[in-house]
Amino acid sequence: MKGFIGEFEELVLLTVAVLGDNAYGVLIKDEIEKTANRGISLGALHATLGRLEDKGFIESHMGGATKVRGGRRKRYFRLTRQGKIALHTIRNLRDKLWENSKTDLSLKEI
Amino acid sequence: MRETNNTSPPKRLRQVLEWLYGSDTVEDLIGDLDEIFYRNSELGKKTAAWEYNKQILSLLFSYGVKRRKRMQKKKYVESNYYIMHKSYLNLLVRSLRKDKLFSIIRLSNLVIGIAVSLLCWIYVRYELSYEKSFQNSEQIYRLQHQTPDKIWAAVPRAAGVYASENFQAVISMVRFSPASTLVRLDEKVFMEDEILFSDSTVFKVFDYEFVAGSPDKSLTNPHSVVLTESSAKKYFGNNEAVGKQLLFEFDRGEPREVTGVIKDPPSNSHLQFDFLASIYFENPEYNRSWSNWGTYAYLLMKPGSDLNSIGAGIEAEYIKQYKMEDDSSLKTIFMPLEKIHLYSNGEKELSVNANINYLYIFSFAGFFVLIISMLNFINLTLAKSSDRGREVGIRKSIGASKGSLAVQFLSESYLQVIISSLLGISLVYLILPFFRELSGLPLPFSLWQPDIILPVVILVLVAGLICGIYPSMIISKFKPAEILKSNMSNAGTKTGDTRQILSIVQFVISAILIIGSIIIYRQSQFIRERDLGFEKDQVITTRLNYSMNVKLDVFESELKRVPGIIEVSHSSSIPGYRIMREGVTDVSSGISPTNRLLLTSESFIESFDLQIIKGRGFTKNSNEPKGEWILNEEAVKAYFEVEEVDPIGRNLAWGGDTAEVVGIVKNFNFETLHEEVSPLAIYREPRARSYLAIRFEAGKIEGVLRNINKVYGEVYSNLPKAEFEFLSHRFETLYNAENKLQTLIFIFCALSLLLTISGIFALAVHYTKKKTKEIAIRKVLGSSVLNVIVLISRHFAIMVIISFVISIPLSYYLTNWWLEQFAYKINMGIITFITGGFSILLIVLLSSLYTTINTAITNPVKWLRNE
Repeated sequence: MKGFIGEFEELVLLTVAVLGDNAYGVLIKDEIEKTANRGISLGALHATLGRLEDKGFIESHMGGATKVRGGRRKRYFRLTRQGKIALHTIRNLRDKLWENSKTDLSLKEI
Repeated sequence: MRETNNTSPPKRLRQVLEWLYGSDTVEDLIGDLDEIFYRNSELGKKTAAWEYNKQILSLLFSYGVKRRKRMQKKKYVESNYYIMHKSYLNLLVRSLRKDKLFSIIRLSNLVIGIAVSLLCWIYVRYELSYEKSFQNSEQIYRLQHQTPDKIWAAVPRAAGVYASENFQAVISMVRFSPASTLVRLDEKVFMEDEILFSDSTVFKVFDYEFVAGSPDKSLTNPHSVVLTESSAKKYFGNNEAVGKQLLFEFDRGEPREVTGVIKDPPSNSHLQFDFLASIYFENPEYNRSWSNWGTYAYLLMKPGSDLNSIGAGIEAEYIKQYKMEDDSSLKTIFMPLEKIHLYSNGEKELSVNANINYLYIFSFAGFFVLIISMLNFINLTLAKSSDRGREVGIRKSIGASKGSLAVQFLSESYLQVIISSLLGISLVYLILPFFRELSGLPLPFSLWQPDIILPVVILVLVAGLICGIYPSMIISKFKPAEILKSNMSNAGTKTGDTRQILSIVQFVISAILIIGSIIIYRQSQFIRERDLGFEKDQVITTRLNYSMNVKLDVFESELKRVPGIIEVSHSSSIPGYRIMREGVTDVSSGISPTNRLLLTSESFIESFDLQIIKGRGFTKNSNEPKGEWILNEEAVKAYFEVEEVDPIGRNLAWGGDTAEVVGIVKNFNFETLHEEVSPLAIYREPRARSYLAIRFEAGKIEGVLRNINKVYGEVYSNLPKAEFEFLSHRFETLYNAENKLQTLIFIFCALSLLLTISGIFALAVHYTKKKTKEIAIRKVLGSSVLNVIVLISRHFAIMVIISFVISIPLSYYLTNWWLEQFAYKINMGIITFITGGFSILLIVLLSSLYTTINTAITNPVKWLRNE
């Protein structure tokens, strides 16, 4: 099963990539809600982050103490090499399928 | 900044989350939540809170959080720390399971020791708790007085009033005097013995809790009474009692109004009563009488009062009132309320008090059992320690430090002590109902009371240390090279000396308990079987009251006609109850030694089968107005020893009457055997009607009892049933404390023996196992089975003999101290000690015999082949 990746997982993975060094809970949630235009709960987000961690695609570490958030620390997420490979794989798979498509996927005609 | 916004996120759900997963685990999540909350708070507090809780709910069962917790546990399980402790536990469980018999004996030892010491504590704690439930118990004193030869619990009626009126330090004062009478409510009639006349100030001194009515208005009226909850229930059921009227016979027709109902007096108080009745006020003379000595006065004092100066003031008043020349004969004593139960043993005590010495004996015996159980535990652990030599050796060579080994074995001991304590506490719960019955006390017990749980925790801490420190020190000192090199570990033999010393201490304690039990048993038998000088087995008695006295002559003459009844008499008191002390004056010499005075009907001597040794008994004519005296031997000594005259025919005067001495009666023990027979003067005075005594023929009890009740029913058809009591039963109850002590000491003795037996048994198993090779070789070389048995038994016999020698002076001292309490006592005798020593020798040898024989008869090949 390892290596397979769901749509939401891909979304989260890419968002973590987008945010770079600043990828933590609230920002990831905001980014997804903004770009994908869908509301998600923290519970769902962290469940997925956890699964991604299980699969070894991301890793996390606690940041330093903050002045806001009542002094509570943030947990930052970062792509691992494995994660990057997974993203490449799925993108390649997709590109190949697009190229091989016998249906014209262009939307202009209709 | 948003943070300074005074709205803060709702806590409730967040706490659930933190509680479920640990606040560290979810720290960042809460941070996220807060961030979102403060951002949302611009939309309104309600929306923000709603959103906040919704997010928490989504997190509560989220895979992400559950996963984190799992990871954390895995991290701990994989850490060295965890693995090390798990292996310690494994090792303990393995070593316990390896030799189940040994382990069971070792643990059950501690269980019994802990359970017994806890039971003892429950008992001692109860005895010490007397009167403590009163709010001011520390400031309350009972006013008592002392004559040259006695301490009296009661004082003159006026003494209490005098103290409270003349000394600022007395905040409040109450006087009690006990009474008994018939109480009527319509058709209901009961004989009530537990009535206390009391001043209305009683509630200022003792804070009895009112169920109905109020302390201010109760007992202020001369014809009022306060009931306890149970007596209110007895007369009025569930109806309101306050405002109702009760008829007390001593009031001669005037009813008393119930002005209050209080909770039953606490069982741990010497003041036990069913009714508090107001004292009459009509006669102030009586209320301030210096000649009525039957009042108990309790004073509530200001803290830090100078009791001595108040006492001196009262003593000065005594001198004035009684016109005494000698000022040292009447002393005042302030008896602290809390001490009455355990320390007060005066004349005219209001209730039967406990004896502090018995409490000591009891605590010591319980403590002994605990010590024995711990010694056993240490002994067995040491004996077993060599079996773990190899484990220790390997550990040490791998690099375990002495300290870490000591910690390991110490924590093993703690673990075992904790397990045993839990089992011991469960055992206490199991035994407590029986123990309550045995001791006759309510003995409250709740584990979570501070004075129960604290001693238990201390006991666990101390016992764990005692049981663990020595073995762990010894074991951690094992030299790895030595242990691992030699196949048979000889590490354990080094602890042999200590083990023997521990065993000896244990035997000494057991021997003391055995000898103590034998002596207590013999003394109890002695008390029971000693000829008291009067008939106590074939006498039935009852207390008389006003209603019975009206028709007493009829009742007595009817009784005399019942077949099987030998004699009937009535008197001011009877043996087994308090007999008053009075001065009776010898007319010609003028001396009046204080002695006991009995006023009796003419048939008293016969109804108790007393022996007249000189002169004659009382004149059998009850109409003869002139009184007569009969003295006991002690009284004769007190009056006439100096003069050496014939007592018969001498005139003695008491209370205005002068009469002749007509006879001398042989000494008889009218008190318990704690007391010497004191001088007693018996005066024929048929008007003294407090007790009725009926002597009957042996073997006719049933018919006599039936007929007594029948005659009573005929003569007193309007009275409630009277309670008839066998005199022998009365004497049994007088020795209640001794009987209880005897039972408890027996149980302790049996327990300590059981512990010793099990300990010896296990030790013998271990000892013979160590010696198998030696024994096998001896057998091969021609030793007989008997030789082998002697070889092993000698080891234990020597220890027993040493401990027996040590125990003799100790047990002599202890039992002698106990016997001092009796005026009449057994000779301890050398036999008792020899029996004690011999029985412990026998017990030790027998408990080791099974193993010894087993070893002795085994084919030596079996042992030697293993090599």
